[in-house]
Amino acid sequence: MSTNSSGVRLRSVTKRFRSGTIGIDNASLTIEGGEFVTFLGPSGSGKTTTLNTIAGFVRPTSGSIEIGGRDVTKVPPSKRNLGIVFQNYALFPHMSVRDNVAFGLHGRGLSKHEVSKRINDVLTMVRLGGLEDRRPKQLSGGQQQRVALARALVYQPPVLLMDEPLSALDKALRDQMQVEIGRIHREVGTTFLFVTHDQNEALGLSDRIVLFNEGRILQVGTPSELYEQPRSLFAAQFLGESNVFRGRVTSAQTLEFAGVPLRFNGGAPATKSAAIVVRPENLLVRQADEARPDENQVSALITNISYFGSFRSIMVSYLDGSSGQLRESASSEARFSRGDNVSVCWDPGRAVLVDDGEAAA
Amino acid sequence: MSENTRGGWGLWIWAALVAVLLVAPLLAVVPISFSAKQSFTFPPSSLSLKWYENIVSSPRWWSAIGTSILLGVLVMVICTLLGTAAALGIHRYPGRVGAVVTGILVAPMIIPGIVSAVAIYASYLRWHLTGNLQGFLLAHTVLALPFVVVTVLSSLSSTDPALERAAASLGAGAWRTFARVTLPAIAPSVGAGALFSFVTSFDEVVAASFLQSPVIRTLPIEMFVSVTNQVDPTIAAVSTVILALTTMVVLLPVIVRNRRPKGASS
Amino acid sequence: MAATARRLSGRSRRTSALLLMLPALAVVLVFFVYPVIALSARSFLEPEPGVSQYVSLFADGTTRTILVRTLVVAALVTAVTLVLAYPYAYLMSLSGPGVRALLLFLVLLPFWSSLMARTFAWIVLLQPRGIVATLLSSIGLGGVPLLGSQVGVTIAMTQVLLPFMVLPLFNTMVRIDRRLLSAAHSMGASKFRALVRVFVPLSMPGVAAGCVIVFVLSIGFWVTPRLIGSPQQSLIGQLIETKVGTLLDFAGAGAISVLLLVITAVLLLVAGAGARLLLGSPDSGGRNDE
Repeated sequence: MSTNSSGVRLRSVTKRFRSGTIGIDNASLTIEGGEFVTFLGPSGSGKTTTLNTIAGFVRPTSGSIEIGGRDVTKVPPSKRNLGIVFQNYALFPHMSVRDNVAFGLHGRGLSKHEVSKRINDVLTMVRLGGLEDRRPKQLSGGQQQRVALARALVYQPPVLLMDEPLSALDKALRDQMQVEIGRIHREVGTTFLFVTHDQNEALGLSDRIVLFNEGRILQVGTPSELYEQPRSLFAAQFLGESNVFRGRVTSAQTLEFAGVPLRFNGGAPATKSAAIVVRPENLLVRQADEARPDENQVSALITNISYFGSFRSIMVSYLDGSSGQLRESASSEARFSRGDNVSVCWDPGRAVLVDDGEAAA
Repeated sequence: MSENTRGGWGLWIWAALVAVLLVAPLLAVVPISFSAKQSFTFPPSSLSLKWYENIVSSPRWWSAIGTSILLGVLVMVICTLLGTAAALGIHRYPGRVGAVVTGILVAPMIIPGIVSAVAIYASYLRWHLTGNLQGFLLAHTVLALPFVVVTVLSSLSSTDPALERAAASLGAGAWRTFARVTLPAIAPSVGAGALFSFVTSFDEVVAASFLQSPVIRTLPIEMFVSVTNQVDPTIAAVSTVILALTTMVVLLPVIVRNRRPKGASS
Repeated sequence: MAATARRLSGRSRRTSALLLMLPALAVVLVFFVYPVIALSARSFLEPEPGVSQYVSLFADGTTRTILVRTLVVAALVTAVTLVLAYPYAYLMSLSGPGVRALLLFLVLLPFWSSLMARTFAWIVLLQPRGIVATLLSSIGLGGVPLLGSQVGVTIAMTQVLLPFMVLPLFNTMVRIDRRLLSAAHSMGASKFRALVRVFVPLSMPGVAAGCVIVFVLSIGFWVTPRLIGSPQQSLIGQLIETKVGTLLDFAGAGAISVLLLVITAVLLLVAGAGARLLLGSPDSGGRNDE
């Protein structure tokens, strides 16, 4: 498989449906050739609509779309030369695996020999050799998924779009296919655009994640950027677990949470009401009198402790009634039990200040 | 995805032509029914209501209408009971037995009409079932039964079997489960099947034309005789009345559905 | 314990199922299936056991002509209804709920309305100097005899049988997953190629069903040819009627009936096998999950 990839560029794309609802709200985005980019968001967040405008199935109300530097806003799907893996694969039930894969090679001026070589190569790549004559109904879900991938890749499109391709598979198969998709991306080098609502898929697969909510792009960044530097409460809560301390910003360095001043690093916030977000693995539990001066500390009540083998998950309830969780290595000695009043502490450098979701957006 | 799937102009024009072909011929009978002359000339040169009066005043038409309605109602009741019971049985007995029984019950729908009619006539002649209501009743029952069986069976296969099991697990007996869970679920299709069986009987010409005698004639037979003898435009008036009734029957579910608040359509 | 109970309830369930089926089954077996078998049997038993009815059936030139004419008319009606109905059903399948309801209503109206009323309407339309004759002469086809001719019979049968083609086509088309067409477009297929390579093959079960229904109904049609056609141009249904009604030749009518039954059975088997061959399984085209 030769390397063949294009960048994708959205400029102020807006889609307003006939019903008046807004599918995409002024989205701008640049994707480099060869990148693996995931569109992540809850259902109805605009990620699939955005993918469909790139595919050409949905025409944007305003804005433009470029693929490989060419404006394709008004180009029909059949002329965009994209590979698309549909959510339930959309394999042609009346055709064999070979005919499904061959479909997209039609009219590309390839010799018979070249066509069968391409089919063989791509089926080998997705590890489906020997199943050429089967009908889709005679294949398992995972195999159908591979046919869908092969069918979309065989004509070497510069961009491959995938709409929740793993959602129809069970957990074990999903993990396996996730690894496979990563391998195939490295092998073909094509730009991959992957839509999912599953944060684990997004974190595990992507070079960059585009986070969607309510038709808007909230944040774009590498998985670690999104996890460690969420720029909104929504981002913090959608990706991974978070402990949220909502309060009022009282100075350039402090936020008052339920009467307790908490320090934070970084610039002055834009709004008065904000929240400090801390990941469970960055929190520590101490006896109420064990606190250190360089740490933030908040009193909490342990509501539950669950054992997960390598770690213990401790559920706590904070002063303002909100709940949170933290993790403790299972190799350390279990010092606390349910009902204990404890101090939850963290290094201010390992927390992020975000706008309070209620006020922002 | 709606944007890629709208039909072109050619498709719309074609569909309009087909729609005209489907419906326009039905309308041709309406003007004739108001003709003042005893002819089928179209369009009529002068108008009157005398053919409508004729339906009411002529004992010939009146008794045919009476016979057809009586027959239709009896057939409907018998077919709905037998057909629904059979569909329930078939549904509970899947596999080969169910398939064979379905095949037998549906056969009258598949076998060419003239063959059914002649076969029925040949046997009923020996059993003295021609020229009387019992013969019509039996013939129309077997011919209309498949429509009830097929509609009820298809709605049974689309109802959730877990519902019946849930009712049973809640302590409902077989009868209570049927009355409170199964029957409400299939009621619309039982109704449709009943309507189907009435219309099948009310409209049946072929078997009836063999089983009839001058003493007992159904409405379609009276119409048949009237057409062959070119009697008078009373048949146009009868047809107009039937078409008006049919239109209402077909429109009824559409109106009822539109009255209901629309659910989320995707 | 539980297993025994389940087996018992399974058996009683089957018994009650059989009891439910029994009345309908008895009525149909006695008052329909037996008559059909008896009529068929007579064709092999009268006047003497053997196939003499069939020998004379095929030896008779008139019967052969009528049989061929019937099959030709049936094939013609099937082809014309298919050509008319396919685009109509296609439009129905991709329309929104409102337009679809209207198109469905237009199909169901003749479907539900009285066959005699429809046939009478055609007699009015097809009569000499009637509307159809006027239309035809205005496009230079004047002088074509309509009432009492095969042309008239074909036109009327086409209209009467059109709903039987539209409905199975629509039922199949509406189940075809539209994303398959999107998939075809995404791979570079033009609208036409997507239609021919994806949509049309997947609609074949509906085409087969519609064609079989219309063809079978056509060969067994009696009312329309009887009233619109002429005795000189009669179809097989009229021949059966004449044999029974005028000649009381039940054995001869039985032989023709057996012939029609065989044709029907063969068509059903071929269509069933074709549908299975196309999709590799007995259930029909296009997944509709989600």
